[in-house]
Amino acid sequence: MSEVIVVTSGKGGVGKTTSTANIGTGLARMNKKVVLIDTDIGLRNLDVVMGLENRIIYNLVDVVEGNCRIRQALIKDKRYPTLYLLPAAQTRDKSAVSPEQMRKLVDDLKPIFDYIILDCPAGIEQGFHNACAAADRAIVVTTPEVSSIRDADRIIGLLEADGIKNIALIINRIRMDMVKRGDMMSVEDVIDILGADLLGAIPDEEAIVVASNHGEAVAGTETVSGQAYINICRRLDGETVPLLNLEHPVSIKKRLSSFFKKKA
Amino acid sequence: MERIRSLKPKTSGDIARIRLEQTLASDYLECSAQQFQNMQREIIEILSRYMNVNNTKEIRLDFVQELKQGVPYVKTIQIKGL
Repeated sequence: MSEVIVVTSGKGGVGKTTSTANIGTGLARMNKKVVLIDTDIGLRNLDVVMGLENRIIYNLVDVVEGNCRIRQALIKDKRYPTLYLLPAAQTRDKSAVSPEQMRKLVDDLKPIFDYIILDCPAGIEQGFHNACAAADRAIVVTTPEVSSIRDADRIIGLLEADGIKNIALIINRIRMDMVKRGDMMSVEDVIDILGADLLGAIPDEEAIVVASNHGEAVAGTETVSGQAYINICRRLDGETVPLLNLEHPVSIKKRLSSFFKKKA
Repeated sequence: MERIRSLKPKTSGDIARIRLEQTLASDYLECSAQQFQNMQREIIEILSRYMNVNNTKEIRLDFVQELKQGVPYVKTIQIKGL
């Protein structure tokens, strides 16, 4: 039984593509057959985040228009044998694909994969409707900022109107030091306002930027965010996993040095 | 607890939350933030003509708009206590 999940947010730049890549990698590490579909036609990025940009031959629009077979367009990630990417076209726009065509494409992929994850473009225009058309459930990514939570609230309303009932939140770029000081809304604040289920919270870590510079995912690495993504994948798979402590383990040396800095 | 909280100066996180709640409420009601604040004030004014609301910590308004899969679709607007 394959599951079709759309990763969306409304606002751009909150971490949809990074989250898609990491969830895909995490699920593949759990030996699930996963395909990631980049639906951001004209502004594709999932390929570079995953480090597969040099291997693209055919894309989503080619498949939909019948220029190639699905199997020809799927790019296999050499690091994880069960992870595949279907890249978006770069020289076309969102109108190149219709919601019906997306539904048909996903139906064709369902027998082959355990998870079909759709990376949704920012905004609420046709690209959003294309990505949501085929999805059974949705992951809404937001950061603890007023602008992105407002957009997430709107997106949740639109998803519900589209008939998607299973909606879960990823709260990205949490900085526990700022939350402690009261200078950032906490995970509880965000869930409280949005009234949706929490799938996971990801701390703001340099490791994510470094990994995406290399075209790699952090999921499964020895970082807090890597562990947080693995937990998200386990929750997606139906496991009950307690929330991770997002605070950085601070070494005694660092603690002492910051203590002495304060004194001076 | 609320009392201790109200004595403390508001942090930027608190301010973000208040601004967000007001913005969402005015988005739902399709009116400006200013109009929404006016409405909050007027509702409290009207209520206080008939009852004492000074000691009321929170006033919420439920907008039941439609039935969704047999469940009433409710949007709650907070009037007092933001």
